[in-house]
Amino acid sequence: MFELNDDWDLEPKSRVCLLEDYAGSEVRWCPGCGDHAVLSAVQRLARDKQLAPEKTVVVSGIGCSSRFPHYMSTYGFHGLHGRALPVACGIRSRRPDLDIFVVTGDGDCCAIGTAHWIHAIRYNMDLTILLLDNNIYGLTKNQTSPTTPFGWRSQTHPRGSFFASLNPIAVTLGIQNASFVAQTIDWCPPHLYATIRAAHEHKGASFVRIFQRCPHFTEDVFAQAREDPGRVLLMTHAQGIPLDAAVLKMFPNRAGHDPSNLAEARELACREDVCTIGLFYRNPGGSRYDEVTAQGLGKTPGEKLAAIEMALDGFMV
Amino acid sequence: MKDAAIEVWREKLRSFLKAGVDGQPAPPPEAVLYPVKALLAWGARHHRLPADAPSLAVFYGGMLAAARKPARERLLEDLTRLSGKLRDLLAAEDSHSPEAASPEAVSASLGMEAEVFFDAAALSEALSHSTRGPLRMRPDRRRRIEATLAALEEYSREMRMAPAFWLFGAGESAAGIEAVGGRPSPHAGVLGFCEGLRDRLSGLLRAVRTARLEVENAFDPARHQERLEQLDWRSATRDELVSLPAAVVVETPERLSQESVGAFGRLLRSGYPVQILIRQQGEDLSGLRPDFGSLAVAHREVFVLQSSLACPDHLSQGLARMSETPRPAVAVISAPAQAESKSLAWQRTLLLYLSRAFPLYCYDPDRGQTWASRFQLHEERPEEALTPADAAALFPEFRCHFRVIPESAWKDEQVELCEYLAPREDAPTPRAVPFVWVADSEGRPERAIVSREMVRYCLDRLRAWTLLEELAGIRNEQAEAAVAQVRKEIEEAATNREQAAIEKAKREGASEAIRRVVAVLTGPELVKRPAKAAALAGQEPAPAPQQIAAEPAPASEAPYIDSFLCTSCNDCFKINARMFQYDANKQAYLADRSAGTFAELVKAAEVCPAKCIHPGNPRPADTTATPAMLARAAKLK
Ligand SMILES: Cc1ncc(C[n+]2csc(CCOP(=O)(O)OP(=O)(O)O)c2C)c(N)n1
Ligand code: SF4
Ligand SMILES: [Mg+2]
Repeated sequence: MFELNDDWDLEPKSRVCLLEDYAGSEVRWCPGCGDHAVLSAVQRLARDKQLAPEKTVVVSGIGCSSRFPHYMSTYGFHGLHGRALPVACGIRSRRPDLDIFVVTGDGDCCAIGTAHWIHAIRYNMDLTILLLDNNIYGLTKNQTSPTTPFGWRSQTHPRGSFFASLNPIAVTLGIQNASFVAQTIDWCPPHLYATIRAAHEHKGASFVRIFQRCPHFTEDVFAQAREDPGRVLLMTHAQGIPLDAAVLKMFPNRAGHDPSNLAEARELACREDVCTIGLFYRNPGGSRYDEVTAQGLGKTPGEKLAAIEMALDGFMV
Repeated sequence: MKDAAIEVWREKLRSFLKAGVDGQPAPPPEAVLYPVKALLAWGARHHRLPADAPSLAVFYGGMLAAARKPARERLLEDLTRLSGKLRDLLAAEDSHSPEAASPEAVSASLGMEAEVFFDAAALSEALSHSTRGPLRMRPDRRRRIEATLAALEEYSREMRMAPAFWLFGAGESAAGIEAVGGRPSPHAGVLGFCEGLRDRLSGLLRAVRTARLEVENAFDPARHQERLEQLDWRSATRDELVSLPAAVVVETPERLSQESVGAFGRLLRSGYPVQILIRQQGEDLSGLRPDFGSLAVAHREVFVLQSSLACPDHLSQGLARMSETPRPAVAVISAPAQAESKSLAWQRTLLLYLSRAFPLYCYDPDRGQTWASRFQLHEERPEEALTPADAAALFPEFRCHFRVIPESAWKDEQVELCEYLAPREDAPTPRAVPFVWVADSEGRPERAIVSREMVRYCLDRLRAWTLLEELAGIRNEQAEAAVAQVRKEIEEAATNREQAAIEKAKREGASEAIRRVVAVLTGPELVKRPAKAAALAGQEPAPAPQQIAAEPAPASEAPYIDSFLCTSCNDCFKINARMFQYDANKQAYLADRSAGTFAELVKAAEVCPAKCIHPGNPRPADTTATPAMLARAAKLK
């Protein structure tokens, strides 16, 4: 009104959050643990997107990686082992206004939480799911997890693991209605950040598996890929993860891959000779269960009562 | 719509139309508001329009109420939503209180069947030992939220009870006004009323803004408290302004000019969203009556409509726009007076605007910043050239300004008034006598000589019209002068360009000739024709781009960190927190090389998971640069 709006600084938007506004309690991960890199990537993303801390939730299960919510000064839910995803789905089903991150580990997601994982991917609710995969149970000190490599010795398998390891990307790509599947590494922060950012921007369940170093128990698992960038295969595409030239230069071994090509994505996911990073698959058109569950929000108590009355009337004979 | 509703609607419409000007004004229902245009057109044809003050007020009030209803409902909805959110905040806070952890409260929140599985008392006990419970709301915030909630609730109660509009100065038709949701009040109170409205609005704005900030968790007392206290009604949005009940004032030019011109000006200057309807009947030859339309336009930021009941299209469109403006608004409406014959009264009103004695226009400051965008003059050209005297001839009070003369007295120097008034180059014949054509009782044409005053009156009206035209951008002298000037400049520029082109062609012709002579003398291979001979004529050919020197390889002797690769693992930080520091992205950079040793650099580079620390070569006096350390550094490369 009246040309001059002297009301402007009363607009709620005018708040600016800095990196430290997202930092929670003191971080207790081991020095050199890959989780640090993921934490700072998420904090940087929150700052860059100016996510309101009180409108952001980080949900986790149990594990070293699952201590993540404590280190963010947002809302957090450090839940039960394996149950991060059902809790996150519950939150999302009635809170379309929040930004929800799920942080889970290879034990949390791929062992005890497998059933939830499969159905959460099918539900395709808008969640940013970060699987911090160190190929081991870290918190409980060195037990074989589903993603532990074949032959790897641990407390539970002192003579080495008996099975071929589970491939979370291949599993996720096999689930109907999967809509965003990507893989990245903790030791390349720009790629890590760009991948989490793309996942956050995707509307639907975005599944990101992060190869995460555990210097205590799986120091050597990723050593080859870390020392020799030639062991990493970078998937590139105009519709893929956007990267700077400087980052591209770090990975001489590249493959153009169209993330809408599911068959090729599955093929790439199964390659064992290289550590493949980038966006495997994206389908923006998948049906989202949260669009159904969030219906009728914002109704006044009166309207809710009326709806209940009507439903009750339907039972009258 | 349901059939029954349509019937009610129809009946109301019928009774309104039936009432017309003869009977008492019937209370028009809300439904009448929608077909306003049709209604006005129909009414004009049958001389049944809300011509008297009370029914005009009722009519416009209904229009206003309907136009502003959506904004009002939106605001009420917003108030309800914000109150709900504030209540949620308080409820969430209450659930953190010690009382919420009591066995009873725990049991209640678990639900009826939960007793089987849970021991509420034990849970309550566990909750009370929680060392780091959730953050509690600060008491000042709680007080602020409670006060804001109370204010929001009071305002929404008040808004629900308030009438759609308040009417000032038309007590005589209370019933009709109430029927369209208005409430009549004595005229004198309008300024005071508006001031009260302003205070209520400031309070409402403060509550709404505070609530929004609280809901978004963005309230910062240091930044917002003072601003909120200074907040006044001018910060209101359009929606907020039009959602409050409007004050509608009904006036006549006579009453306004005698009693309250001062108050009129103050009201318009105040900027309060007041709506003033001035119903003007007949004409005033004396020129003593203020021109309220121009007066209002002179206030610049006021919405002004000058319209006539005899032009229903213009009137309905204008009133519709007026009902939406959040600004002070004035409508001067020409209406038929009481007359011995209804149709005569309407003809007078019609002729007043057709002859341009009463120009129709709309000045709407919301349309833009310039006259051209704000001001629209309604131009309707009747086939016959009418003069204001043709309209005046219909008024009995102006009869004395006309003298009908018999045909025998018709003379050559008698000229028709429209010709007499037409602008001309030469001076009018001093002896010219202006007349208008009138009809005698049998319909035969007669000449009526007009008085000096009548001619003066006509000239005054015509001048007024010309000025309005100029404002509306029609026949604007300044614009015409500017156009002529620009045209002249363009023509001159074109001439200059032509000259320049001729000169250039001459020059180029000469250099081309020289080039050919040289070519003949030296053989064709030696002189290559330049690619753009014409463009480069007389110029040196551009030198070949110089080879850009290859960038020297960076002397990788100094230590550095590839910050963008840092994983923020704290490892280097722990080795030397002065040498290694975090940037704004919480990624390490070499803050102070001199704060640490070569050995520290090498150790940090070794533990760095991202391998982004490059120790470089040691500084001369660094004793830690032992051969063993140098060997470790070499391995890192
Ligand atoms: C129901 C249940 N079963 C078992 C455990 C023990 N437990 C705690 S953490 C963990 C494994 C965590 O592994 P992962 O998810 O890979 O996390 P990491 O520590 O490796 O980050 C297990 C089995 C538990 N806390 N709860
Ligand atoms: S044990 Fe491994 S996973 Fe856990 S914090 Fe330490 S390094 Fe990280
Ligand atoms: Mg693990």
